[in-house]
Amino acid sequence: MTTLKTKVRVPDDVLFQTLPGESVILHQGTGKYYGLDEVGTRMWVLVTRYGSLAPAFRDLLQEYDVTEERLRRDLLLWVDELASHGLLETQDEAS
Amino acid sequence: MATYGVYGFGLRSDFPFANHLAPWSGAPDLTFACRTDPPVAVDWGARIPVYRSTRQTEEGESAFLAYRLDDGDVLRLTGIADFYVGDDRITCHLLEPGREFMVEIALLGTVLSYWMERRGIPALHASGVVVEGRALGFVSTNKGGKSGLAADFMKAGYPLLTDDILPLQEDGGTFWARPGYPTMRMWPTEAEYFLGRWEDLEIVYPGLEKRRVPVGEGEFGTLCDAPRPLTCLYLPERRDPEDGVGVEILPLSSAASVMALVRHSFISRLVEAMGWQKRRLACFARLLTHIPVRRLRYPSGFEHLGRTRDAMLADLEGLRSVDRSG
Repeated sequence: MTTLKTKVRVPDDVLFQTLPGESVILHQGTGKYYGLDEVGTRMWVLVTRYGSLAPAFRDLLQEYDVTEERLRRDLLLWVDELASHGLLETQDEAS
Repeated sequence: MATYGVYGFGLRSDFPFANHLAPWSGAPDLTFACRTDPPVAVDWGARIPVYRSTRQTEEGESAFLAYRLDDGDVLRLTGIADFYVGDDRITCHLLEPGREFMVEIALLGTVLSYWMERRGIPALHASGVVVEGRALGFVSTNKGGKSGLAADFMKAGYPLLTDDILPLQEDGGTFWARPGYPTMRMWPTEAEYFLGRWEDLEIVYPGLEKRRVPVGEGEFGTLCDAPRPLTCLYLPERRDPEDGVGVEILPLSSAASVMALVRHSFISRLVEAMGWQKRRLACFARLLTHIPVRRLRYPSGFEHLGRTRDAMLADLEGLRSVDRSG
């Protein structure tokens, strides 16, 4: 189960490219492409920079006008969604 | 030995090309030779291919493979030919005599695309023409309409830049569209419409109805044989004329544009396998800060090409106005 203690990494066959105001993720294994809007791009940058959700959550909470509860729910759902497409690999802290 | 201009590079070779190629006056950038023995001894059993195509031969082998060697790469058309690709030399080991036409098709398509990608020059599956000194490209897959659009511009007096592969080179913040070579490929119906004949034109290869159309020298249209700054890329999308939809030129988001360019790379899967996609993505991201990519929807049928061209020329005029005012 994904929590704020979950660690994440980008699989080797996934590429990310920023663009003006958005970004694209390319999954070379499946040949599929995904677009991220400005907020999604910021989430990707922070999550992949830290390699774990807690510090990304902390930064996002400071940057956006959003409640803790809402951000936690949206971030965890977003990570699960990307992981389901093979764009992120997640690992529980304990494992 | 002769030297030809292909994709804006000097290609020196004694190969008997069936395509009409133009002579090159400068120093050659690349030498191509075709022989019936391998240029180097390779223990293939100890080599693992970097890339295997999903398409297979009748014997169930991958139809196309790529290997990395110490001093170059090998592209294999299984059972037909091995292409040894180096920085300034490509050597073909022809495995099946009588298949020289396949050597030429592969060389002018996949192999030279690979050679350019290896040098950091993305090769799009696109045709291109020149309008007022600048290049515009029509990016699509086979039968996507790119040759018809280019031929229509040529019929109206605009030079062809390339018919099937559009190499893009970034230099000092400018993206240059490189020329192809002076031969187009047309289906008989296209040749009949644009040239008024097709039966006397050579077929591209045995079993395919498509014909080779020489460009320039009193044949069809003219070729621009030098790189031109790129001004716009269009993604053609033919519509049923019964839909009653006219010509539409629609902007694309940056993400959709990048995805389209990656998808329409001439050797997309091979580029990924070789690990070059990351730098291409970055290159396309830079390109999009200078060059618009548009979706071009237009009615299918030769009779609609003229107004499709007019719509693009008006669009280009709009882009130039923005340039002037900016």
